[in-house]
Amino acid sequence: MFSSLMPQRREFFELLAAHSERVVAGANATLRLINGLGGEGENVSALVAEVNLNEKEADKIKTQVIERLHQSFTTPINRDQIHALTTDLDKTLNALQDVANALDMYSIKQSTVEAREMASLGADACMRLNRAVAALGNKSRREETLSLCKEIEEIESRADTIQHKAITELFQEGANVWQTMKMREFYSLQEAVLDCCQDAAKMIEEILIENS
Amino acid sequence: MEGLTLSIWTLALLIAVALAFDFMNGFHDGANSISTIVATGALTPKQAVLFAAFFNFAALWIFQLKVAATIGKGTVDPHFVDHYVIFGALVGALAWNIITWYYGIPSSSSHALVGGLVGATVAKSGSGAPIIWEGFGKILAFIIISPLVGVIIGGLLMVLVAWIFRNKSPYQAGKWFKGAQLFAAGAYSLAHGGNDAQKTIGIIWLLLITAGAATKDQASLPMWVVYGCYFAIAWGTYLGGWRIVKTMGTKITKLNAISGSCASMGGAITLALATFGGIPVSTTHTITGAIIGVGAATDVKAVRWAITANLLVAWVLTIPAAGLIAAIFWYIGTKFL
Repeated sequence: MFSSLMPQRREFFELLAAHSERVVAGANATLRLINGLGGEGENVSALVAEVNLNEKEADKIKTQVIERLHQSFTTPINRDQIHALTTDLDKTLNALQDVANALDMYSIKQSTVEAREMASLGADACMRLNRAVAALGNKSRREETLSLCKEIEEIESRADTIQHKAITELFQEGANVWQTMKMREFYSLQEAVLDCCQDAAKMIEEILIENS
Repeated sequence: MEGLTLSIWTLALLIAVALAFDFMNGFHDGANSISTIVATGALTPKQAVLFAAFFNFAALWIFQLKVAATIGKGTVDPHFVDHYVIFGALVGALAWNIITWYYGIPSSSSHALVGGLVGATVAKSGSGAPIIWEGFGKILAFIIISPLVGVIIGGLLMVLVAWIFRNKSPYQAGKWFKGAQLFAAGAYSLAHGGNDAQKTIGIIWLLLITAGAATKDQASLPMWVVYGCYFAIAWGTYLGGWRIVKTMGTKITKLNAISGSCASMGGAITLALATFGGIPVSTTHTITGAIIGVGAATDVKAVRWAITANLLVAWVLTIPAAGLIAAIFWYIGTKFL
């Protein structure tokens, strides 16, 4: 009865949506980076710079969210959950940045089928995450948002399977020890992106359940 | 008048029971106003009960005796009342309070008292004729109205505070409310004393009228009755308040300094309005209404609606149940007193 008279502070939804758009941009740049590896078309350092730029911009949004939390008497959803969600989005972009920067660090010049598959799953999950966050403030889109979260969790488990398979293959072939070591590390960095997406999806589900 | 045959001992006994009823009221409800100021650490429990008891008593100088008048001469025709009726009313109300306390129903001792008075009077006269519907009807209507007004004022206060402090975090706003909640709790204790002590004043007044020791004229009411009743409720608050640190504040919805202040202030305003209007209302139900209003503004799901439903039961049942018990005790009283 009175809750509709309270200050609404919808800007939190807008900030979270902007944050998740940065995540999508980072994920797409990472995907292009890995897909184009070893090829002619893409400029590796420009794409890495693009991921880093998105991470920086996302950090600014996160700072803004936290500042706003300190300057708001009311929040449209639980203030701890807003903080947790923006932290999860931040971690996702950090994980993407780790993947992009690992290419240079481990001097990976060629991508693998599995790396490309995982990068595409990552981009897919981030895109759904963006849609879910954008719909968070809209109660009528609750079902849609929930199914997006479920899809993200499915994508994460598909990535798990691919990572498993890829690592098994690395060790069975028994070829280059260095190659095995760095690719194993690289796959787990890629998997970390999907884990972060999953954490964010779970947080969104929690928010939806609490506000149903 | 029958009352003239009343012995001084019976009179003293009934006054003592009435004061005990008043004392129990403070003992029970005193903590309503201070639970949040103790919980937030603004005052120690000992300071808080002294604070609440002081304001309970200070109500003496604020409010006119309009509520006492409604109970004493505006609910039932004093001509039909004798000491058996008063005995029935007091014991009926006390018995109902004990029953509801045992089962954890948030019943109102004020409604029990009114129910008891009407029940015993009707039992004696054998009809509804002595009921003064203007007064009794007002009391019945306000069983519903006072919690609703509490909900509205409590909720609107919370909305107002949220807009005033919209650019401050609850933590920053909370610092400001450390002082404000003392003000709100003081106001609530004042209003609580004003409305509740007067109910007992009304009963004793009625008793004195039937005994021929006072008339319907307020000037005939001895001042010791007024002081005694305010003292009894304040003393009850002092002794009972600190035992019960968590009451309404934690049962219906969680309160902090800010929402607690809004709830106390909402309850205080509603009670003060009722007291100025001479309407005896339930202080417990009024503060409960204010707490629900505040809860509905901040987070609807935080309101524990099951306990709210219990309240509804108490609303409907209290007057007839206390009335029935009072009628039984009126009959017993005529045999033994």
